[in-house]
Amino acid sequence: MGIGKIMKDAATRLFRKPSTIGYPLKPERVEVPDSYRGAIDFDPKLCVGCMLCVRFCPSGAITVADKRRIAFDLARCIYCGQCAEVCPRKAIKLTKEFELIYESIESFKQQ
Amino acid sequence: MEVGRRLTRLPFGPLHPATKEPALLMLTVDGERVVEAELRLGYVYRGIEALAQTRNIVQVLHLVERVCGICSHAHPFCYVQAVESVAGIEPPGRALYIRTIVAELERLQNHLLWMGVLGYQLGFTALFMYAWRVRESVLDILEEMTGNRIMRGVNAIGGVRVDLSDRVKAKMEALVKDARKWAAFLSDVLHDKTVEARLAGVGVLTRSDAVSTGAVGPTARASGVDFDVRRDYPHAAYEDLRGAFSVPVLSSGDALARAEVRVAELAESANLLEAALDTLPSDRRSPPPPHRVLREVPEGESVAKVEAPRGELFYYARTDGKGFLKRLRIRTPTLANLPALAVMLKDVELADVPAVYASIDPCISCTERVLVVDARSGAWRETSLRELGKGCGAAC
Repeated sequence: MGIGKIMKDAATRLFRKPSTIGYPLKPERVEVPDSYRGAIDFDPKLCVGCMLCVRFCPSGAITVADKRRIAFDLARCIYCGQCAEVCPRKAIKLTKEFELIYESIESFKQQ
Repeated sequence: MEVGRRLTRLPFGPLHPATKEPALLMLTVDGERVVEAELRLGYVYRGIEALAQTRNIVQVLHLVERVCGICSHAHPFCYVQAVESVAGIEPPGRALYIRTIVAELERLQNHLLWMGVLGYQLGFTALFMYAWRVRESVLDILEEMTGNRIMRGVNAIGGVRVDLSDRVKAKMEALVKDARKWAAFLSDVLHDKTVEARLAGVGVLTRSDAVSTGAVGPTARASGVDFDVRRDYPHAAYEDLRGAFSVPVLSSGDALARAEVRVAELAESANLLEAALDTLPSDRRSPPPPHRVLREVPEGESVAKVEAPRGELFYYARTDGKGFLKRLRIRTPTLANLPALAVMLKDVELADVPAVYASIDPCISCTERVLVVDARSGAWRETSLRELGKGCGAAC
């Protein structure tokens, strides 16, 4: 074996589509799988204030404001999905949204 | 040391283009030849074991997953086994198989990543590109199955958090067939004359050195140490799959042998995956809810080990009966292999140091476990393996 086999492979590769994509210019959206754990979607109407998510969040990204109001800090979040798993009312969901760009660290905080 | 020889102390790192992570190799060189190598760590200490004592058992599951980015399944895989054996929780058979399947896919992607890095260190960029291209196909399957390429969050205490759908299973079966093909191709590329000339006879670790330095994983198996946790201490589904794989062992102990062992393991992982997918049990049972786990884990201690892609990974956990950990101890395979690296680097040409360094597949940030802290002043400093070997000095 040696250079011959590599050259043969290289020659056939020349006529194939590249493995990389032109994100973000050409395909504006990249498809992620359904089980993807992206930005948190919280529905305060469903929340019963059991605080299980606060207790199980590994990074302390979920905090309680006054009157049991839950606040998420997406800058601290490690996107493990533990909060969505323990929530008894399914008030927390992890969406497929991954383009999380904010201008300041404060704007990562979501109520 | 002979009198009259001019020796130079040459720092290799901590920030060196050939090492992706900060570790300082203090080399003593005679011209171009390395006489002695000493390793100094402590640049990326993260205090994970101390942090684990401040979180509950379920939170720590996600913390240990972040010990290593490449073997991010092996760590929780080992941790859940330690906790389950304290609590006496028996996960369903399907969960054990899914853990095993993800562990083997992880081994595939880790060895491919390593092969690419080795190619890159040798200046053989074609091998780097080939290996990383096929690695993407493994990561794509993992992403489709679990949602993420790394930090997959597969494990839960008492089961798994994801299931294997028939669609993904069919894709995996196709991947196994492909894997055999590209493993053979990569093996051919690696056996190029130039590569062999660079790696054969370089960085030799004899069997007795491998045993006395406590090397593990492919590094030890390339030196003739016939040990694999999957076969010798079977856990998860490896007990049932014992007949489906063999453990490649070579005796020459040089960098080429370490490469060949890993290439052979690619094919063995493919065999394991095929057998595991064939006999996947169907007892789907979700793991117990986390708040029940916290109540049910009693006070106790336990050890667990798994064969991570880089070698034996060891966990010790002591629970306090209130859902927290009193102590968590992690010994990563790289820590076990670093003393062997110091032996390998003796009598190596300076230009071969990156190749020998890469041949043990080091993962430094997972390994950082020791900082010497002076309790009186609160001052801390990093330490070298040699100082630790001498025993604790006045500082501790």
